[in-house]
Amino acid sequence: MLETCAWTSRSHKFFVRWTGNLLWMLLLAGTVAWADHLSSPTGAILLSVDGDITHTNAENAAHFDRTMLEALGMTELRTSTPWTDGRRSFSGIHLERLLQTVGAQGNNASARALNDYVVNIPLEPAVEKGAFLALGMDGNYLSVRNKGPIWLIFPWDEDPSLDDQTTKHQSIWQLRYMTIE
Amino acid sequence: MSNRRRSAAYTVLALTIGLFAVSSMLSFSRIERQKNELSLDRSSVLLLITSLEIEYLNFLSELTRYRLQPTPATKAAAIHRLDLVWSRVPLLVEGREGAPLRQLDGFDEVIERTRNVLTRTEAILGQSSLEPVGMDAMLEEMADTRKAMHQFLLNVYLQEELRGDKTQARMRTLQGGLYISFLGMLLSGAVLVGFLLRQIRTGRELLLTAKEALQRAETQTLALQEEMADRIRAEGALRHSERRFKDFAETAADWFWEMGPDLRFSYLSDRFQEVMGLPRREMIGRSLADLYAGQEEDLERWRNHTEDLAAHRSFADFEIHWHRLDGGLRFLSFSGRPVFDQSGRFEGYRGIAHDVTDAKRLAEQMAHQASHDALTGLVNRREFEHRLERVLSTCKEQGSSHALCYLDLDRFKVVNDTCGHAAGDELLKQLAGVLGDAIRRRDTLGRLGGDEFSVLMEHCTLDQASRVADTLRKVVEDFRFVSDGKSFSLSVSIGLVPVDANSGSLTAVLTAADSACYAAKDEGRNRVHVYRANDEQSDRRRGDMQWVSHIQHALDSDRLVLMAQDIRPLSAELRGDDFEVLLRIVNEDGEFVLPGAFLPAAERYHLAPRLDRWVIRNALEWLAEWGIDNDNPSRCFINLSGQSLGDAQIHDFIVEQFRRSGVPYGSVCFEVTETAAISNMTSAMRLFQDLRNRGCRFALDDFGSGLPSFGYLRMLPVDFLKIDGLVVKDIVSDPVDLAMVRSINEIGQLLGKKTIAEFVENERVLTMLRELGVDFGQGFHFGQPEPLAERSPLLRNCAS
Repeated sequence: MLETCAWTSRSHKFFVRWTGNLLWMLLLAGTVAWADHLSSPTGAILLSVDGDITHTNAENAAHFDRTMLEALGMTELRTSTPWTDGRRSFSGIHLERLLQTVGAQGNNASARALNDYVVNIPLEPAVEKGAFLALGMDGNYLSVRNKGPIWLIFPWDEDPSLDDQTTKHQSIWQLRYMTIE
Repeated sequence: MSNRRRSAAYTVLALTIGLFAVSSMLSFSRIERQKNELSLDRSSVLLLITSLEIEYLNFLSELTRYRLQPTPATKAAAIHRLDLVWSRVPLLVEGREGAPLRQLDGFDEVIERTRNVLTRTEAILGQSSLEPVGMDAMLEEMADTRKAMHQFLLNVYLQEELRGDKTQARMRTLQGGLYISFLGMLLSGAVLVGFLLRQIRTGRELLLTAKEALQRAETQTLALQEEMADRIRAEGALRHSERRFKDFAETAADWFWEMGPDLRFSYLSDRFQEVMGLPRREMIGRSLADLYAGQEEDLERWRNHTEDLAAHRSFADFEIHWHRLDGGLRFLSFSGRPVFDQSGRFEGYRGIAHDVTDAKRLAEQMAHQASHDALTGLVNRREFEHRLERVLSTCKEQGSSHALCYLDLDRFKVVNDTCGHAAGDELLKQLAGVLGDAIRRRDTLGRLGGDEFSVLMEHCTLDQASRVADTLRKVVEDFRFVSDGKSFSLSVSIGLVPVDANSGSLTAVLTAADSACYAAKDEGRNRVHVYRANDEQSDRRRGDMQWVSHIQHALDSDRLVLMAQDIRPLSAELRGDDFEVLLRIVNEDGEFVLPGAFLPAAERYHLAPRLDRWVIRNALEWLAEWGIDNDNPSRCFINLSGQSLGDAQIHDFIVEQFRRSGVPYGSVCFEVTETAAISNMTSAMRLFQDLRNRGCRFALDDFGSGLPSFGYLRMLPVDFLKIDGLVVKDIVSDPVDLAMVRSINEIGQLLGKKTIAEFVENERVLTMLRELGVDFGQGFHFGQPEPLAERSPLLRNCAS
């Protein structure tokens, strides 16, 4: 039983990764046309990415408002988390999608929250683990009072090995700035 | 033998290996278990609760900052911080990370209190006003809640500490055990080396494995130690945050204090000694009464305060002043509330105090600003009247006598108009200095507004006062104001009134001074007029006042009449059927009143613009009906007063009247006196230029009366020059007048203007004017003024 579960999870991951890669290739082909031309935010800025990135819309930085983030294509992630009760439905985008959008070149991100909590996130393992930028939960936007506007989460339900300290530390809530190094 | 020994050796070896295998298996399993236990303990509980407190403290700091400086920015920062504290709550009450905390005693209470406090603070922050109403009590309560929170945190620490100690002790035992098995291994290794050379390789491998295990255990211990260091760092962060709050409290304007039941200070925060300039120990044991000593002048307040204390009531903003040993004076404000223990027994007071010295100074400064004129630094009208009122009341009590001077600058408007308001302001500033030097030390010099000054001379006879007044007049006369390379001389008209027991009210005194000043102006300016009861000159104003009501009545009931007087060309080449419109008031007896009677009053009370407008409107209406005769175009001359020139709306009014009546601009010429034009130079020039562009003509009236200034004549864009009748009427007999008319005419012609002579009363004057080459004439010789209504072209034709 346990075996089967593990296998299913692995094969699922395998499948996700491959379809993901395929999608990326398609998307990349599309992005070449508008590379370096990130649209500019019109609403309040939710997330700012700077550092080693190639696509910007300000002085060495990429600023995103809610509309811009949503335009990247919202997906759903159903999982439980160590800080919530029960299984929840999160809407948002994968970290990988964001990194692609800003043309991240570095291997590390220094993520900073509204309350100045800072955590270092090695990007490749994080993407590998399925890091997900959640903007909404159960159909509502995440408010500042409830870990919002952006919460970095992982698919804990898919992979029990994610329940370790490092991953928990990387699950930064009220995420506001990312510096790629 | 050899076989038996070998088999014995194998047995020993087998036993040793077996023992070792068992002991190392045990060690591994224990280390593994330990590892799990250790990795579980961390972050979750400690960090979660610590973070709540850190965010709470940050919020408290931000809130305190907002309370001290209520600006939109500090308010927004506090609201942001509030969101961040709120965000810590779901992390504690939900999810498995916070689960261990929820089982601890006191958790629910702390969360409930936190929620309660945050909800109420949120309500305060939600108020629309910028001032944080009710914040002080809230801050106090928040500090209490924070204490409870911290107590809970300490309990968590304590429990974790116990667990940590147990873990460490176990690790030490484990380590010791490992060392012993390692030593055992060494021994058995030596035996093996000695006995079993062949098996030496195996032994070495085992040894290596044991060593590795040991190293791993050591690494594990190191990791554990790092964990502990992390925890200590976390504690350090909390302590840092706490210190930050403390620093903030200590550097904030407020400080905290406590009193025992004996009402003596038992606690004072650090900042207190800084403000008081006394070490804390000097203050502990003293009471507020000690601080209040020497301020008995306000006993009433102290009595109220002691009553509050005796009744164990809260008190707020009880102010004292404190002379520091270094000489500085501080104002302190105390607020406190009584403290009772659980059984309701009074335990003393607790509260805050703040240094209100700056606020006090600011209030004083504002009081100064409220009573003084910002430009000159002299006392303003309000304060001047206040002081005069005080003097008046002493007159009645003590029978003392004083004097009041009212000063009005004579040609201030010229400076303002020609050099701009900045220069005008500068002039007033300089004059304030000059006047201030000329008065006696105890006199009060005030600026009542505009170019009006006033001097209150206390304990001063009328003789002394008139000497001072004359000095003031001379000082202004001698004063030269230079601006932009232009030098101006000024003069001042001064009204002087005695202030004594016979003086009436404040208003009566000021009105008398004002009348006296006008009298000084009427007498020819640059002089002092001393008011006396039943003063004929000053009483003229009462006549003026009557005229004011007459004029207003006449305007309201249309008891005004326009007259027309012909202006005739003097040379045969010139044509024209021009006339000047003149205004008359019809009195109750149906008689016409000449402008000389009512115009001064109209100007003094600013009614001239209303009269002007009436004239313009009615003259244009008449022109629209009768005046446009294309074969015989006539021009209508209309007078404009100086006050109308200064009226910002007059331009629009005139244009509107032309538009409504449809009268061509070219059929009107406005007459303006030289003085009026010069006093309102800027606005006059603008009006002249615009209306002339539309087709109107302008004439300079009464030119030659007083001292004509040809310099201005050059600047003013006028078409006609009207030579003052007083100069014209005697040219036959007076050679000086003749010379004046000649030169005015010549200069006028030279500047391309047409000249008009007034008061042409007889044939001889007319002949002389013709000889001089004056263009037009106006006067009784050509006819008396007649009502405009009777001057329709039709009627004229019939008459001639």
